[in-house]
Amino acid sequence: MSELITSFHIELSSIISQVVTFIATFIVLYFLVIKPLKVLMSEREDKISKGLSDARHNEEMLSSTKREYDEVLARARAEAHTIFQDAKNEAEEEKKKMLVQAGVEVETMINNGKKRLEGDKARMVEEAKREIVSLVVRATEKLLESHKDETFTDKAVSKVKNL
Amino acid sequence: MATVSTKNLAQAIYESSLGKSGRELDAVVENSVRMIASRNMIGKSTDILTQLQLIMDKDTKTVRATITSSHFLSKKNTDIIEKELKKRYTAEQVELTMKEDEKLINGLRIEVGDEIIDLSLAHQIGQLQDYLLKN
Repeated sequence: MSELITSFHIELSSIISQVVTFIATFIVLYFLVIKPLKVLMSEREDKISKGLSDARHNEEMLSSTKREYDEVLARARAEAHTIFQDAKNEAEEEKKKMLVQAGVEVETMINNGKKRLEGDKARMVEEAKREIVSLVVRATEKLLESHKDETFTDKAVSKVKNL
Repeated sequence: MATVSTKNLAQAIYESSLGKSGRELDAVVENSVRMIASRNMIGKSTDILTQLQLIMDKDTKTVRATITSSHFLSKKNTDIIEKELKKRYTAEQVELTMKEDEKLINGLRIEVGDEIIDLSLAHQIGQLQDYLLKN
């Protein structure tokens, strides 16, 4: 051992002093640098961990929100579809009603027109009849005036007896 | 003052004049006119006279008839009508008013009160016209 120390020019005192220096330096460094650094690193790690956790939470929230959004969208689409279908059905019903109403109105108009035509026709026939009768009566009057029956009054007086 | 109908007034005048003549009748007439005037019924004098005529006719069994003919009626025909009217209305007297109307064409029309006996050719033509229009 002593040979070894001699061959390598190792001085024990020097080594001890270096060890002591090293330990002292280490202790100083430990309290002044390593420990605060460790605390800093630990805080940093917590921050990062918290950040990651928040990020995961946010991702989950985002995902949940996205799901809700999709659901709401789907519901809105379904609702819109229902409303559209209802409106469409209602419009169809209204259209049918209007068609029926229009049909009825057209039929009424046709019937009224027919009635009016029939009325006009009947009136025209009646007027023509009146005209013809009037002509016949006037002709009869003229004829009877020109060919007076002298015995008519006598016959009329004899009718008084039978009244 | 109570209101009096023309018929009642006429009846009263007629009854008060029954069996009276000369001055008595004149007095009845004068009183009647005064009563009519006092009741403010002068405006209804025509109605009163008509009612009086009807009462008198009923009492004397007189029938008033208007005969309208297309031409002058012979005495023979007038007598026949008068006779038939007496029989029909059980009247003792018939007062005839004769009228002529060429519109009747031929024949005659007798009017007694509201009743009309139309035996004219114009009426028959009218009936023919009605028949032709209805059928």
